[in-house]
Amino acid sequence: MTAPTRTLRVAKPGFRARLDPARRITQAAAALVIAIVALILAFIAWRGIQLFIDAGVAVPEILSPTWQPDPDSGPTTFGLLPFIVGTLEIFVGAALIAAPLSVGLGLFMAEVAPNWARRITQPAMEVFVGIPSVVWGFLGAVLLVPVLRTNFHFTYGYSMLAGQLVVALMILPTITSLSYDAFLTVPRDMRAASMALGTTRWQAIRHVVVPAAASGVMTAIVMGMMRAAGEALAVQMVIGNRASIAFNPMSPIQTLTSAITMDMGNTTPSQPWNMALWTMGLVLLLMSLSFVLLVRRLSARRPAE
Amino acid sequence: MDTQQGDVPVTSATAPAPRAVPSSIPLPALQPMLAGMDPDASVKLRAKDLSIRYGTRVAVRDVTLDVSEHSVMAFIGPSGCGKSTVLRCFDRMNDLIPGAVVQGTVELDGESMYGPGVLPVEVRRKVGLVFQRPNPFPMSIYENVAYGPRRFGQKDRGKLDETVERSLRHAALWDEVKDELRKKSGLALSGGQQQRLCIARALATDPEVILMDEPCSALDPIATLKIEELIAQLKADYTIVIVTHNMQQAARVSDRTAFFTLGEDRAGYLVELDDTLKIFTNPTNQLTEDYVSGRFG
Amino acid sequence: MRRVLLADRLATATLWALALFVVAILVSIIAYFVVSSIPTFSLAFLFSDPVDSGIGGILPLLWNSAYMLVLTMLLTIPIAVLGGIYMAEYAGENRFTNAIRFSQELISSVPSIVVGLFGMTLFVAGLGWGFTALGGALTLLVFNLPLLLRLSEQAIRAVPADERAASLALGSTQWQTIRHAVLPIAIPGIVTGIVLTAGRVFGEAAALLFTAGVATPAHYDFTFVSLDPRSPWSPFHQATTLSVFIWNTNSEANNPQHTEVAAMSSMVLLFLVLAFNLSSRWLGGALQRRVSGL
Ligand SMILES: Nc1ncnc2c1ncn2[C@@H]1O[C@H](COP(=O)(O)OP(=O)(O)O)[C@@H](O)[C@H]1O
Ligand SMILES: [Mg+2]
Repeated sequence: MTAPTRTLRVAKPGFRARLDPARRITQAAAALVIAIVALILAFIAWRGIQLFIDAGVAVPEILSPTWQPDPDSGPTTFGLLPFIVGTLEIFVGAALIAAPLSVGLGLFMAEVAPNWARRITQPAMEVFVGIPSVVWGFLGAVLLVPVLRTNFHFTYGYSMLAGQLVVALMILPTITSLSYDAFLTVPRDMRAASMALGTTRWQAIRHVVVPAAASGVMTAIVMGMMRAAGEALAVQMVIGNRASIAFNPMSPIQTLTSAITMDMGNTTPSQPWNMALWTMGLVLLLMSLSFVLLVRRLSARRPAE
Repeated sequence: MDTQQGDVPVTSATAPAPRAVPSSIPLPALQPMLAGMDPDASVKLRAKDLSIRYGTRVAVRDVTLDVSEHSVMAFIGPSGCGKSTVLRCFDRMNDLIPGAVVQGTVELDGESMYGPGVLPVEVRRKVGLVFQRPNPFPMSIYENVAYGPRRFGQKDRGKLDETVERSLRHAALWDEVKDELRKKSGLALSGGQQQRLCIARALATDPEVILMDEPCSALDPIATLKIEELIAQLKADYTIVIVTHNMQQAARVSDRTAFFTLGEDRAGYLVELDDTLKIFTNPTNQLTEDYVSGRFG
Repeated sequence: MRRVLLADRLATATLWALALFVVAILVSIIAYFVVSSIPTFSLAFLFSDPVDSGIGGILPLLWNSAYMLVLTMLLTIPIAVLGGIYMAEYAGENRFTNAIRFSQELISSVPSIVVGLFGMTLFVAGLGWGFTALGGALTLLVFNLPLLLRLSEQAIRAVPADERAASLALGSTQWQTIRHAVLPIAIPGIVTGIVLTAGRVFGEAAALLFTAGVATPAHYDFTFVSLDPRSPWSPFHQATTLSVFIWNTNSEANNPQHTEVAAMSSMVLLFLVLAFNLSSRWLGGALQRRVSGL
């Protein structure tokens, strides 16, 4: 790296500063991130619409509840609705289970825990977040599913609820640490101010800390949902993978990620079936995009200033 | 050694302090004399043999003092000598600091604040605390003031409105904010207004004592003046204890002044407590004299 | 009054119970793996080849996990640190940096299986490599780069402004300042970021299914050092990792002892990831002390 001459140090980068090789090289490295993301968007979008262009499937057809991708067993219908509903059920259900636990734990760590307890919970969360998804899937399959089947009389054990529980545990540390951070951003003397007025600690938490951290906590929950919606293997290992719309938590379901995982290896790119899997990828991508935009909105909305 | 001895103008408090502190100054273990007390005024707040430590470190030791009703007492002294610590004892706010241990007694209206069965929550309702940095809640002005009453179960809109208006008027803030009570966030006010909002917020809970910990240290001179005027008015209804590092302020607003300093054992103690005029013109203790004349601290 | 005090007690107790519950879950998970592995686990499991029936071992899979880790990090670290330097030291608030931030956020939200699809199209089919370690590593680069870039940026930003000012005041150029005054101080933070990012490589499986491959290798000849795809040293060898193996073992239950194998493999994986997390804390702290000269 050649060191640029001294005249380049100006407050605002001028023409020559922009030619500074160090600046250019590091900028190129950063730009690579944009390039990669653009490439992914382009690839998935392009392959995702092949189902409509190449296989001639009408766009509304993907909203059909019927999934019959195999031409050998009759006329095909590429309804993605069962997968979309399944994905929704997993991430909404997981968030409903995980959010109270995680936000409560975040509150505990930020407001209630004495130092010694925080010295346990904080590393515990780091370990928790590090548990790989295949390990969660394995645990779900060998511990949870049999229990659901034998003790709770689920037909298969492999079920929506199994998926929701496994994913809830997976996203628990995510929501916990993000909401913990959100609670920590509320200045300490806000609590003291409330308690100096004669409120209990819980009143201070409930009426000052929680409202002030609300948008951060919402962001935490959405980030958890995002992770839940994209989880593939752990879900695939426990939900039973039946591509039909079901609302009973005891029944097997299927998600977008799980379908891609299972069928991608069994199909070839020229098959409409395979193209439909790419369309699922595109749907997932659009979901991610909506999550990101939602998070951006939430974090732009700060408590009244 | 000292040409100004015996006739210390209050304004000299800010004169540059000479670096060298004569080593001959005796550090007396003098218990404060409660001389000069008005025997008629009833005692609102009384501390007796009050010592506070954080963990094993003694922050303040053996403080004994009385604050009479409807008076203003100022705490002065070098930083770190435990003024805030003592102040927090009067509101049981030290209970919130892990490791803080309070020994001795504090009485409010003759009743122990730390006795068995006394709820800190109830003590804090009777004693308001204004912090060094204004700390309004991130909500509207109205909600800030209504916060306390709401928590104590007041749901009646009319009563709340009334309390909010009365408290804001009392804190000399009403006229400035009355048009945007519900729209404007407490955090959108200027520093001085925020501090008065915090005072209004404390007044709304109907306290008997108001504690202020350097309430003007983050404010500009004009805002400071407003708060000082406010203190003079509030005295009629409340008993006030104010910590200040500004000696002119102590002289202007308080009836009595307590001077604390750090002992050789690094623990703070009360050196002298007397009528403010006496403390600033003719203190009994050499340490007080040195401090108010700006010779150290 | 009584009611609010009761509510306070109740809420506090609930939060304690919650914390206890979650920690208990974690402890029982780890205990489950340890206890269930005791009857069958031996060190030989780590050093022998997988078998179709019975316990066997996981040596090739451990090898592949380590191989993928090193390869991915070799690709990721230089780019991420350089990009982090740009974002922390040169970049202003403009469209370009906004685009980078948005890309970072987006990629961290894209499901890894979708990123796997991308890798499959580009490397496996597009470039015709088939399932390779390099294709897998490049796919993992897709998540790891934005993540490590952000962590590096944060570590560099955390360097106090005084350090820069002092160096610039001595007449150093901006790059000299970064190189000699800023980076040395940021190193502990960057290393922590690297170790955290690396830990994720071990755990990742979905993105590798279609890029690095799922076939369980029978045996590796480590004396065969070559670029030939049959060599375990080659970036073009099919590199099924331990995570992928766990998934595969569990979903294709040919082996009557597949549960034991998957459980022990999971335990090994869990401990590897734990070791990474713990060492990132420890390493960060140790480097910090060296940098600050204590
Ligand atoms: N929360 C606390 N924890 C530990 N020590 C404290 C705490 N608050 C104050 N102290 C210590 O107590 C002593 C007195 O502090 P303080 O009451 O704040 O003094 P002042 O208000 O007179 O400046 C200081 O030495 C300070 O370090
Ligand atoms: Mg103080």
